[in-house]
Amino acid sequence: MQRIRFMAEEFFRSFQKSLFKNILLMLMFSISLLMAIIMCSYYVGLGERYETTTQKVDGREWYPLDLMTESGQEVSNQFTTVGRCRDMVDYYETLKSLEEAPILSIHTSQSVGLKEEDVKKFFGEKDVLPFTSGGEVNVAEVPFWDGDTYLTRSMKGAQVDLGAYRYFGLGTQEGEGFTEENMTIQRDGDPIPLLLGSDYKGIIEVGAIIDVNFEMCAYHCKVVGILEKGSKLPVQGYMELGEVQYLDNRIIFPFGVRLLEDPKRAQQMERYAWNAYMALQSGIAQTKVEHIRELVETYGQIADQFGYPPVQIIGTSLGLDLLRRESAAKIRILLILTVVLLCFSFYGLSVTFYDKIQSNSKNYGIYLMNGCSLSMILVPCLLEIAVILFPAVVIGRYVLPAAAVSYFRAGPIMQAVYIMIGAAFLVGAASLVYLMRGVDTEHLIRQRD
Amino acid sequence: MVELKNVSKTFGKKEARVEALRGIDLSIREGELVAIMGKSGSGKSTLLNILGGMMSMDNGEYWYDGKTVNFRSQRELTKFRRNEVGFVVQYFALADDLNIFQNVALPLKYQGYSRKKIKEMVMEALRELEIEDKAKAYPSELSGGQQQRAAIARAVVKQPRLLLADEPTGNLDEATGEAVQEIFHKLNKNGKTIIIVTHDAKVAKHCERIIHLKDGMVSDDGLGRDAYEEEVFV
Ligand SMILES: Nc1ncnc2c1ncn2[C@@H]1O[C@H](COP(=O)(O)OP(=O)(O)O)[C@@H](O)[C@H]1O
Ligand SMILES: [Mg+2]
Repeated sequence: MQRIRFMAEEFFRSFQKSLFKNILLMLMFSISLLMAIIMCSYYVGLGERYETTTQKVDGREWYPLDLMTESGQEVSNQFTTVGRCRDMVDYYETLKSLEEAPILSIHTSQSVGLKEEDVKKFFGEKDVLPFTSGGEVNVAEVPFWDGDTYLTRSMKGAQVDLGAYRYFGLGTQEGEGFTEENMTIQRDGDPIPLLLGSDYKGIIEVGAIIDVNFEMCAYHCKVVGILEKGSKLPVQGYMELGEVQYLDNRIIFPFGVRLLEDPKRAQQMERYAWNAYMALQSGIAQTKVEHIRELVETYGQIADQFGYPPVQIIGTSLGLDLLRRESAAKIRILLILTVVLLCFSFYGLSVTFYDKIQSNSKNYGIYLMNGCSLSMILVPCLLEIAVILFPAVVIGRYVLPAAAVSYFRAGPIMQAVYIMIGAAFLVGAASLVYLMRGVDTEHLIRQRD
Repeated sequence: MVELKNVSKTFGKKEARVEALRGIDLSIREGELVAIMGKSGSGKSTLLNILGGMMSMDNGEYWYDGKTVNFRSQRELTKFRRNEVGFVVQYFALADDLNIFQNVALPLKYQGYSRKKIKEMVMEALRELEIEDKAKAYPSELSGGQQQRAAIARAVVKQPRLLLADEPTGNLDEATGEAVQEIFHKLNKNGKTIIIVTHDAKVAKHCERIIHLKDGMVSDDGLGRDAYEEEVFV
């Protein structure tokens, strides 16, 4: 008991003596640990998200994209001029056509608004309920063209781009599917291709012209084909879960409609910007894991080029995610800073304890002379080092994973934290033992006399 | 109780090499009061430090109570210092940031006594050395004599069988030195084996046996009174 008391007293006295230095060291270690982990994560993919957010297909990793979570407002707020709308369309086209990471866009449970009058016309006495989304309560006044509102019914829909249409092997029993040609229109107002599920057969004819309201924009559309019976898509393109969405009672609206001529008014252009924006929001980038950092950097550059925020790649490491808005140059500077700070922290720790031992050597000698064991001197020192490193552990253990949102894998991050802290502790302990070992007790006492 | 066989110790390397002890043979029985004398640099402190387990030796053997003291094992050495020896050095060796009570309590803490027992034993030792009123004072607030009393209190508080003192009166005025000398005498009367390194012939005079060191070797080992006469007139 008294021995433990002695060690505790030694620890408190020593800690108090170099309180300021110790707090500084605590800060330095905390910050440098945080930075080191983010850097490790950025450069070597430490703490990637759980596998379930991504899937591996044909040797490529499929990463879901997100543009909305943090920046929904700031993006759509900009669709006020033809130019900015065109920028969004081009932004999407540029990202999509990156060879190293093609994008598929797919959304398996959209709802498509049809004018109630059209529904009546097409369905007549037939039951519309299996085709509507959200049951009975799905008819509302909705603005269509230039503020004209219509009584509109929400129908079950889905949305794919040409790539996804082809990738998942969809085909038609009547008419044609999505093609380069029918997805490209000359000017606003030219009909956009629409596909119908097999159950629509006999209800809406191929070639029918319909206005639809989709994501608060109205589109002038033409039914180009009816899908084969039993056509299906994996839910949100995610094959590994094994859930599929049958399309038989759905209206399939295209992502990635290409408009060749800019219209005069922003209001006309806005729907194409929304279409591109939603295509990114529902996009899946297919890339190799080892290219992911380059891809994040490329996304950053392309975003700058068009003046929109970079698309977030879901499933990248914590570091890539946190720093996706920073330029590569900035991140490199951060890396250098991290290394420097890390070195300083370790250096500071060694120097502080070297100093401590030097200035305490007389006391240590006195303790040893009176029957104190070496370990009773070392333990308080080690405890002090442990306390200095403690905030860093707390940050690594609790703050970092919390800040990293729950779906990052904390395991590898924690391992990195423990390895770093362990290394710091070992450095401290080793230098202590080295300094104290094999020294004559008598020599210690005399050091300051 | 204590036996040294052919003990030698060198410091430094090459030109700076100093042979502090050169083949010391020594035997001390339980209950003896021994003085070690000799010129400055003759190896007295080195010898005492080795006897106290505070310094390793290069060659030779140290037998204590019929067992060798193993200088290679930190654990054994710690035990030896903790349980067997009380040490008093010339420059007191009091920890500056501990008060007198805490300083004297140190050896007892290492031995693992209870708090209550420690308090009892420390106060008893302080009383015996007549500095109980200084328990709460810090070493810097004490005179040299008081500091040395504290150091002796610390050396004797755990009731060691062997008490080693390196020039305990070297830094004290004559009167205080006398008093300190009295203390050692009393302790020896109570059965402690005491080895005192000293310059001071008056101190040595009280000892039954005086060992002379010269250039790291024992030059004379004899009765106190004879040695005392010699020392005075040389
Ligand atoms: N730690 C040391 N390093 C180097 N030389 C030492 C050391 N301690 C003692 N010496 C040398 O060893 C010799 C004996 O010293 P010491 O035992 O202190 O003598 P004394 O106590 O008799 O004056 C001296 O020459 C001294 O300089
Ligand atoms: Mg000496």
